[in-house]
Amino acid sequence: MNRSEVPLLSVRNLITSFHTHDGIVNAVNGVDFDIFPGETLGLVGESGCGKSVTAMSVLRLLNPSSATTRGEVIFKGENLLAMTPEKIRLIRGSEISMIFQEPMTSLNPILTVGEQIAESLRLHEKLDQEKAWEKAVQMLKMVQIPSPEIRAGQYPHKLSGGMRQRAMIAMALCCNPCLVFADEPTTALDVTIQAQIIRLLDHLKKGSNMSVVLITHDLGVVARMAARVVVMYAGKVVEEAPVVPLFHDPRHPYTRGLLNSIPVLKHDSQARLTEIPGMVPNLLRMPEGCSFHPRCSQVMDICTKKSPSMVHFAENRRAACWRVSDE
Amino acid sequence: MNEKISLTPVLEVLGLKKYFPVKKGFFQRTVNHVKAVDGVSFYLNAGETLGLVGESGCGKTTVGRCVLRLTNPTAGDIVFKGKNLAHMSTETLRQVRTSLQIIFQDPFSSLNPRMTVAKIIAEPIRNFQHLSTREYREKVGYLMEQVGLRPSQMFRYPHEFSGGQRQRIGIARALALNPEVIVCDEAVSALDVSIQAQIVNLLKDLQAELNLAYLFIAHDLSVVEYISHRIAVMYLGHIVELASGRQLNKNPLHPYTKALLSAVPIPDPLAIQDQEIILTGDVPSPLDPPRGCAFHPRCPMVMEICQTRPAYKQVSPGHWAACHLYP
Repeated sequence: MNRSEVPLLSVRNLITSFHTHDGIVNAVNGVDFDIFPGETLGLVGESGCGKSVTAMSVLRLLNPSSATTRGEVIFKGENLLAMTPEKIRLIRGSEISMIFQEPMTSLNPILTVGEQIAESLRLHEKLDQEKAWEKAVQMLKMVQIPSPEIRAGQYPHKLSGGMRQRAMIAMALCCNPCLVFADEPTTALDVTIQAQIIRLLDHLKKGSNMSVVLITHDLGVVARMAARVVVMYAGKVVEEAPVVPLFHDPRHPYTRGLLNSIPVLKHDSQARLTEIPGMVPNLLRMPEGCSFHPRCSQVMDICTKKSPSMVHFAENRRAACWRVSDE
Repeated sequence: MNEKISLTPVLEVLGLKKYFPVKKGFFQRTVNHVKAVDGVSFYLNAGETLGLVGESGCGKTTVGRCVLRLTNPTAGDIVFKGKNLAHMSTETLRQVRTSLQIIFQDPFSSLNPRMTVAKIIAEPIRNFQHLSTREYREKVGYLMEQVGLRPSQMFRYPHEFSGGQRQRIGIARALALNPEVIVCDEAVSALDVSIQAQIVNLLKDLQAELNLAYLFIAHDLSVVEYISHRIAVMYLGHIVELASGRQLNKNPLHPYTKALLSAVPIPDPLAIQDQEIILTGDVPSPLDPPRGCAFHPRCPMVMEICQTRPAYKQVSPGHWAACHLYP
């Protein structure tokens, strides 16, 4: 890739395997990508493609007794995967943080919202009780929660879904991280609330040099927020491109299929949606060759035998497909 | 498809109300009511799809459940082919219900995990007809083929199927008694886009083939627009606007519909979200709905008169709205 900047985070050949009763499953199978300072990278794919597991692996949030992660994750010159648990704990929540999907289950129900935000401030910024609380209230104000002084003293169940998501965002951003993983940050929300949260994230990103990895299945949200997109399928990256070419000139048949199957407003309602036949393969019984070939409309002989390698066919663009390698 | 829609409604809902009591204290006295549905009227023609959209808590699911009398309505009439379901005895209702079926949102919890697919699909038939085992199998096999499943998988259990396939099982079960009306309660919301497209297309094909009428309940406006002939928009227990899909898209009248349409992210990075309307605040609690027009605290066009409830009336042929902007 022709980029002069140094990436903030580089993921190289990330493999995460889970040990299940039926055998070893590679949920993430050789993923690599870079994140540059200040950019928003969209990580898209359908359920089970490994996008969330990728984020969890990078942050080392998976239980080591059930999952093993191999590969390299270079952050500021250091490999996160080789760090001691103590050291990664100092980075997690301060330099790199995460916004989880379910604001209902990822907030602690028996601590007030303010205490939860203050906790990470005390831990990472070494603020005292009072200062941490003040900063927590300030953070709630920043994410535009009305009457933040009162809300900080309330428990999560008192807050609406949108407000809980705002509180999650406040918590993720309280220590000024340089990288935030946002895992489906708007999926559980209603569209009018989703629009509010998207606008808030846009607003918070402006004026800071924070990078965001936006993990989502919603291509509408990606189009609205991301500058560059990585598409994943069955544990692998299948295509990567800046957002405009990805939507207007997708090269991998999966990306194309995904884009064609979304219903778009302002369409003739009598038209048919283009579907991708079949379903996502079982990770335990992966098809031979390209993992997408059983569903692909342009399958060739070679696709059923050999897995295609990643081809960088243009600046900042790559795809793993035999059709692309042929061109 | 349009010419097949007859002009006599198969289903007519008039002034439907459903209040859930809120009980408190040792004696469980009723202290308040949640007005989940507060006076909803619409009709559904044979072979037609009426979309019912709105955000969580707007009462759309309750409408669907009341139509089938899965919950008893507090007031109002549900007229199916001249028979009023609202005041029907359980025994007569049982017979009528064969023509009214439902497809649920969650394909994981709506199928009994201990029953084989054959049993699940045959259960409604067993309740009303006495057939030999061979005849059952034939019928089940036929239904499975109709929804795109292989009849050879008849003796498998639901957990052996993917989400999309399970939704197909649910559809086959709903079709088993040759219904005329099917309530689809968020039938495609839990599915990935590529699978969602498959199911939406399947529902459209079945409608064309069997002349089914759908009450399609969903929160995703773009999906609803794809499948529906007419769309009703609900907010806090009321229908605020009802029009044909085209009319609603081209010329939305109610400020809430406008906001809802503009909040749907367009999956195209080059698209300029024209006049994006971001609503402030959350949906108010249905326990304590605002006076007058329920939307007025969030409405960008609020006027003094909005303190009184606007009438739901026909603004132009076939286009209904409840808003003071259209007196």
